Order: sequence, then C-alpha cells, then structure tokens
Amino acid sequence: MAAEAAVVEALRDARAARLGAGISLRRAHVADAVVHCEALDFVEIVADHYFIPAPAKNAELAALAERFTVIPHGLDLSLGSAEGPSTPYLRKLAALVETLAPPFWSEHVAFTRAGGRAVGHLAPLPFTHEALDVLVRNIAQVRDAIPVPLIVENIACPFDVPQADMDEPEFLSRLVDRTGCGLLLDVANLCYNALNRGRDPFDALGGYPLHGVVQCHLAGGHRSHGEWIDSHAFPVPEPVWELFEEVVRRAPVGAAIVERDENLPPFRELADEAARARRILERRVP
Amino acid sequence: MSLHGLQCALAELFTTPAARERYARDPERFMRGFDLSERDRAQLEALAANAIASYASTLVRKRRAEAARLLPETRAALGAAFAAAFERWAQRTNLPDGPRRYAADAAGFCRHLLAERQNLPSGVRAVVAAELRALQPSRWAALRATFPGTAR
Repeated sequence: MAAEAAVVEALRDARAARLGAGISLRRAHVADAVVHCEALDFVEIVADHYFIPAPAKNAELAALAERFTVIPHGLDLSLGSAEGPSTPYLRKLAALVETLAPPFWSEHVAFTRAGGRAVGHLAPLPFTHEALDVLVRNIAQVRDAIPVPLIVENIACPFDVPQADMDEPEFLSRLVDRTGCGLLLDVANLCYNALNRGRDPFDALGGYPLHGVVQCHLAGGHRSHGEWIDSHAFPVPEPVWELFEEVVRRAPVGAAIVERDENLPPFRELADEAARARRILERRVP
Repeated sequence: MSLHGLQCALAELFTTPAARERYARDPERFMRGFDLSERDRAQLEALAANAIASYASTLVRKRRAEAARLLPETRAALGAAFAAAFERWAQRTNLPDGPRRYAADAAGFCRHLLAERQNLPSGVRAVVAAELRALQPSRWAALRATFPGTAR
C-alpha cells in the first residue's frame, strides 16, 4: 500500500512536470528529432520497437535520452487479459523503463492476447465489473515490476462488447479511482468512437475522468464505409483540435503527443502540429 | 475465468477467417469450444457479425500497412496489386507472435508471393527476393538468440 501511495505521489509529480508537446517518434524521424531537438518538448517511443537490442537502436535511445524526456508507450502488454499481462513483455518493458527513467509510461485499456493467440492489435474489453477487477489486479502486478507511474489510454474501437455493466467513461473513471493511474486521453479515439456511435464527442467528453488526464494523444484518421477509423494516417483534423482545446480547458493535462504511423510526412510537419498542441496547452491557466 | 473464455473466443473470431465462418454456420457449436458463462454467450451472440468482420478487417489493414512499410520496393513493384495480394495472404494466415511478428509476417508474405505467384515478372520476383533476404534476422540478432546474455 505504501508502494502504491508512492506511485500515486510520483504521478502527481509527473503531472506537475508538464512535459509540453511532442511527437510519437518513428525511426524515420529520429535523426531529425535529434538535430532539431528544440522543436519538441519531449518524445514518445513505441516500447516494442526497442525490445530487440541492437547497437544502432541503443545509440538512438542514448541520443534521444540525452536531449529529451522519452516516454515509453507499450502496445502489447495486454493489460486487460484475464490470464494476466504478458510476462516476457513486462520484463522487457521494465528494463526499458529503467533505462529511460521517465516520469511515467503508458499502455492501453485493452487485451492483445488470449489463450496463446496474439490478436496483433488492441482488442476491446467488455465494460464489466469482472473486466475492471482484472485490470486492477493486472495493474497491481505491473506496478510490482515497474515502480514508475503508469498512465492508461482509451482505445479506438468501432463497437462496444454488448451487455456491459457500464459505459467506457464510467469504466475509466472507476479504473482511475481504484488504481490511482493517470489517464492518457486519446482525443482522436474519443472523437471517432463517439461519431461511430452517433454521439456528439463534446457531449461524450463530460463523462470521462478528466481530473485524471495527464497526457493527450492527437492523430488523424479517415472514413471508410461510413465508419471513422483511427488510422494515424493524416494530419490532426480540426474537430480533434477543437476537442483537444476543450479537454485542455477542463482537465489538468500538461502533455500532448501527435501520432502518425502511415503516410509519414516530413519531420517539420509533425513538429508544426506539436507546436500547435503546445500553444493550446500554454493557454491553460495553471 | 469467464472473461478468459470470452477473450479467447473473441481473439479467435478477430484473427481467423475460418473461425468466423464456423461461428456464422453454427454459433452454438463454436461457443462450445470455449469456457463461457451464460452471460459471455449472450455477449457474443449480441455482437453483430459485421462488427466482428469490421474489426477483423482493421487487423488485416494494420498487417498490410506494416508489410507495406517493411517492403517498400515490393509494394512499389506490385502497385495496386499489393493490397489484394496481401489480403489473400492474410485470409490464410494468422499474425505470428513475438516482437518481430510484423517482420515475420512480411517475410511469410514474400515467400508466399515467390511460391504461389509463378507468373510474377522476373523483375518483381527479384525485388521480392531481395526484400525477403533483408528481412532475415541479422547475425547480431542470431547471436543474441544463441547467447541471451549478450549485452545490449
């Protein structure tokens, strides 16, 4: 319990640190980020990309860590798995977090494996009391291995598993309350999930545990067969920027990351988006 | 362990076209293969088939995007045919597990192209073969796998 209190305290410090704005760094942009480090306040890396040690990747990490706060972002811990988080993944993640010594790290409210089968992507949890208990238990296990604050991210999913006990905002609120984890609010995911369910994203926002938001993700998706897909393939669209401004008005968010995985533009374009996010964050009265 | 059964069933439905076909044909029989409570069964039954199919196509799209990133020359050489060829590959295979799973998937796709697409122009075959060679784990990685204690 004392250890948990220490983690919660550390999370408060992390929030107070207000990291500013950066990008989720892909290898194609590492050299630019190092050379133009003044363009970003911090960077996020996909933890999985640095699990297989290689001299080039070690040098990359060292160069980044010299210039930035580097936040590891996990994809495949499977935090919501009833069979528990992936132990080999957790071991590698713990080593990476120890190397980078970030103020916090992040993972998703999802499962990515079950019964020995890798889904390969973030699969939705049913918003039930049972799934919540599993998450709370798994987060406690993860904290034993990684004594650095964890912030958890809402995923994009075109549907909810039916017959839930609650909706996603309530599920996340309970999770934040029970674990003391911060929230990595993916504004694009919130926006697309609401649109795909015929809801107004601004109305939906009110139900989320905004007091717990530590960091935001911003990205651009596209529409296919009438459905919004969070493809990270396009610039952040205006509705997501507007929703982010609303989040910043209402939540103690001190950090934002622009994500792009497909149609990678030149580094400068992403840095410009990060600069826009920074301007929005700076408008917030502390 | 009820949630575990539901997650196993969902994982299979999301990743395996044959499982989706089995489920569509006979949901009762499919669900008997998992440790599901009444509620889990109700949750699965209430999940629309097109929601599962839509999520499954998202997974394939992600696999294809990763393959395209890892195989830029193959993608350029195949042009518009790349997407359709990868879809056919993904219909028959699951994403491998492990930290190099997308590289393994892309390598499998290359082997599939070389083995099954005998009519590929020789220039395209050469590009695919070259990218397949480049995807093989490096000697460094092989050394590490042999001697796990090798320093980072």
